[in-house]
Amino acid sequence: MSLLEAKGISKHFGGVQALQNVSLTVEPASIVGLIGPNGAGKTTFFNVLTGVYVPDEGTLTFAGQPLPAGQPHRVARAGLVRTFQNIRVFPQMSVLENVMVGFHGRTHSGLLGAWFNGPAVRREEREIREGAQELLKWVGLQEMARRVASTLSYGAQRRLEIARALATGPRLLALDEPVAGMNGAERGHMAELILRIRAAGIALLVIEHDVRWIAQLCERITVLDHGQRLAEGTSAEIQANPQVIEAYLGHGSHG
Amino acid sequence: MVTFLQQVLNGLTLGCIYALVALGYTLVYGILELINFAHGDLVMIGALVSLTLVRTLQGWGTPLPVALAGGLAGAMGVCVLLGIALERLAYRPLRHAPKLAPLITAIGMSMVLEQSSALLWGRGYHSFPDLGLTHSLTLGGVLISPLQGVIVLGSLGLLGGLLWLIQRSALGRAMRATAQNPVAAQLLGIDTERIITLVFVIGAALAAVAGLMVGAYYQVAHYTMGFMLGLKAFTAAVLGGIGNLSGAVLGGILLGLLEALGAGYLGDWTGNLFGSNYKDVFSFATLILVLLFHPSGLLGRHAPEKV
Repeated sequence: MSLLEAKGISKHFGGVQALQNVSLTVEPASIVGLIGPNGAGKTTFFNVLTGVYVPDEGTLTFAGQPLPAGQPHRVARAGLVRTFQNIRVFPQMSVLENVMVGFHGRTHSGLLGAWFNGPAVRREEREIREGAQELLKWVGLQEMARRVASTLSYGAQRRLEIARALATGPRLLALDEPVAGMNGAERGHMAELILRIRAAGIALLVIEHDVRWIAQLCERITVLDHGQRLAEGTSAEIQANPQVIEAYLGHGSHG
Repeated sequence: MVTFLQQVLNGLTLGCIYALVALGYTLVYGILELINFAHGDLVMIGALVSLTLVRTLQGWGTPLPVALAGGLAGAMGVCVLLGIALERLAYRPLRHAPKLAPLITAIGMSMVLEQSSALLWGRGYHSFPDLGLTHSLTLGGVLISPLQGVIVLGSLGLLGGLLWLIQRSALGRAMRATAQNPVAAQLLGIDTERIITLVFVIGAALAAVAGLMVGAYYQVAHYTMGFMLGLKAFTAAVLGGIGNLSGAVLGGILLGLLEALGAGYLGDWTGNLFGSNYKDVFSFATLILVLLFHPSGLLGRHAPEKV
């Protein structure tokens, strides 16, 4: 059974058809790429997927269950979590706290429980702290745990966002342009991190402009153009597809 | 010196009450960027409900501590339910409307609460039952009533508990996350609507406590008392830096001190040209001065740019 099955998704804003009959599947523990020129509808698709927008048409099935449309917090709790193209760490919290927030949906903290602060609450809090430290080590930010998140470099904030997303315990991690604005070495580190996440049994759906970078990572790639699915196939098939070269690579965005 | 210490003590008492109310404004503002103008009226309702309950219970021969506890619990219950109702019925439907719409609604809700209270309790003044806590002790010439002690210690306890909740607990972390980036918080599995409801619950509970305190302190309650009190607490929140919790506490206590010192010394300072009835002018003028030189308040930072 596929982990994620999006079938015939359509979404319009006023007169603008942002997505038209888009389908996409993600198998468990696989890496799928989603590419397309600017304005092709990639980010809109992410927003529909994660419950920020309700689609006009189409169905979303995740691990055999329909995804709750328009309820982002329930989508996250179902095991589908994302990062953002424009970074959204909690700027005034410490790096460690940012990751600890990610554990929220998995805890049972109520208003009275928080004040009562019994042994169960304290144990849970300690486990969250340890789990968050573990994840920071995993993305290579353990030295920065106490820093205020907004003081981190751009690349470090991206890794923090990924650690925070992993804290929710996802089965599918959706990354919106994870290497935008990064140099070659940083891109290499991000690719290595993505492969490690997959090796941990988590599937990834990655939006990216850089086709060569994404082709080396993904089993399959879906190409969007003008809100429609232009092509779907293996990395090699996509890179050889004349329509894709015309619509996307033809713009010469990355040489 | 004795006058000075006396006014500091009086100001501290008043300031603690302002701080409790100011927190209600600043908590809601921190998450929704909404000035909940109806918040002061929750304090008024807290005062009137607790007054009515304490009187009734005393009428049945209930001992004073039990009657007080009952009055406080009842006031908290009523205020919390009203706070939830306000959020659900008045503010939530306007969540994605322009910011001015919920602001005007808040002013409207303030009037609704005020006039409903006038219908229920009448337009007259209600004297608060004598709690027997006003017999002052003298400490180095300064008069301290047990009630002042209860108000100051009780408020400081509540303020400490709240700051702990926000800064140290998992729930507080979720509240701060919601305030700093609601979309990201939702996409990490936080039910932000539930967090918003909780914020109103906490604010309303503090308002109820403040209502009982202010009623007992001035020994009077009236359906319009929420207006001026709310205005001052809002002022305190702005003075400290709206959205900043420690700022609300600092602003509340400072405003209380300013008001008490103004009341005590304005006559002396101005050769009796302005008397203690100008104390509000004095404290609001100070506010204007602070905001002229530090527009984001004493502890406030400019709101981070939202992308």
